[in-house]
Amino acid sequence: MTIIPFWKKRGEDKPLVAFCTEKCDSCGKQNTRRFKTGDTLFSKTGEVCQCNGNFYVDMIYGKLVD
Amino acid sequence: MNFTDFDLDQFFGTSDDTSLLMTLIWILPVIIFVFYGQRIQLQITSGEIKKSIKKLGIYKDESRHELLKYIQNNYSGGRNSNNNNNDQSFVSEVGSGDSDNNNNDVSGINTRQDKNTVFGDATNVTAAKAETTSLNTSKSTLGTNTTTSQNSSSQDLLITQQVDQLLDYFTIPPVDLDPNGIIPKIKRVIRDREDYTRANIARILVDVKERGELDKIQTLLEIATSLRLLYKIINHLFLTAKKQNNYPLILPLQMMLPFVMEEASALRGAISAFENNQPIGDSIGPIVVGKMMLGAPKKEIAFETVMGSTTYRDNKTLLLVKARGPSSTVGRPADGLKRILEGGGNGGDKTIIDAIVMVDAALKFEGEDSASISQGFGAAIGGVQTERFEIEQMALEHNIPIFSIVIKQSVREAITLMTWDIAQQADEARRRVYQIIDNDTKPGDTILVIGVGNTVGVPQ
Repeated sequence: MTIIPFWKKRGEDKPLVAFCTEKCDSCGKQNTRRFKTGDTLFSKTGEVCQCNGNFYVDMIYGKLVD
Repeated sequence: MNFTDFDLDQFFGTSDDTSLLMTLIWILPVIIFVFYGQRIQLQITSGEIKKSIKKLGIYKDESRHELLKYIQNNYSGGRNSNNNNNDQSFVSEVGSGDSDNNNNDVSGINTRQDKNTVFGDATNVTAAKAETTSLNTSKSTLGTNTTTSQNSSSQDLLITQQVDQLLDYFTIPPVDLDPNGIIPKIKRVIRDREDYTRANIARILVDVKERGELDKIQTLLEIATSLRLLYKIINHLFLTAKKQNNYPLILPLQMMLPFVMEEASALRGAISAFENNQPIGDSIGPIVVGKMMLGAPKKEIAFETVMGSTTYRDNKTLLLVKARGPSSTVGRPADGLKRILEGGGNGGDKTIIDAIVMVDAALKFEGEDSASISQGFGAAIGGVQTERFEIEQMALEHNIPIFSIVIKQSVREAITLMTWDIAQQADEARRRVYQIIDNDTKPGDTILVIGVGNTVGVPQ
């Protein structure tokens, strides 16, 4: 467990890292991965799901990581 | 306890058995604080403000550096005299801000980010090439290459100077002593600033061909300009108070500084999101409407503003409007609405709109949950308020009710990379839009849904 000094706000030193959630347009299966340059919302990622559906970028968001 | 034998002499330390030293220790601070209290307070406050100003200075320099670095990484060519004639038309088109040209590349994705050439490095590469060539060729060839390298660095210096000049641009708001008719004046000033800044960037960086890239550089420039202005204002107020030794003058500065720092820190944090074309908190409106527009036929109805049209159950028509993504722009929804009402959005026929639904990000109250959704009435649109004024005016003239859905967030969340909490609310906000369309409109109605906000990283 990381001890945060009392004078620092929680999450102050943590960088906001971009993540990407891909969703299958057929079965709705979701994958989460780090954001890559060129990723755009609603665009197809080129990956194919087990159900033969196509993955598209459903969400791009930032998360505080250690 | 008995209070009747209270001794005033003992209490004030004036009785014979109290030493003079103790009296001085007691009395001196009182005298010092009476005469110098304000100055002591001024010193303590000054120290805190100085730290904040130093931080603001760092943000200002970093934002400028990031802007120049981005330009250097992606547009190391800078000026190209051969293209001047061709690009003149591009500059005038971009500058006008009223173009309806749909042929421009709207992808806005930075495909050149993998280039690692920085100005300095580019010069080194040129120099290295010159060195290699010189082994095989005559001295005159080396001379030519060195001249090319010098030309390149002088061009880079020129670009830096011109960017610095743009950073110092200011806007004088119109006189508001007589507020009648001030909105068109404000709109004129803001539009001129936007258009001429865009035109100047295009003139300085002739390699920028995509409108999306131009928008990105303009946004980075605006961030750097805002931080520079914040630094200048705060520093001015502080130095004035110090110069006059005036404590009351420093009080308002001390009070507003936390808010200013919050905004400055958010602006600094926004740079990477804009550089990488990632959606920010404010992009939630365009995300909601952008997904509704997928697959629908689209056309540009105003500068950097697109409209899609779909049909919905009960023979309802949905007109979906958002800024053209995925570039960093907020578009001009008021101009879009005007064009739709005048017939420009529907092949010349005037469109009768029965309801407007606006989706936007809104600042949350302290204590409110981030990413919570609220529903209400009235035009949900921020900015300089000219767009809001015009939308309200047109809604009044055409008797159109305006419904709004807002997704609450803090200043920082609104302009930095979208958080997971906000991103996952897009589907719920979309459900609310359809709920309004289902419950508050009649069969056969035409409903205009506007996704308000910066559409960086959000296509349609």
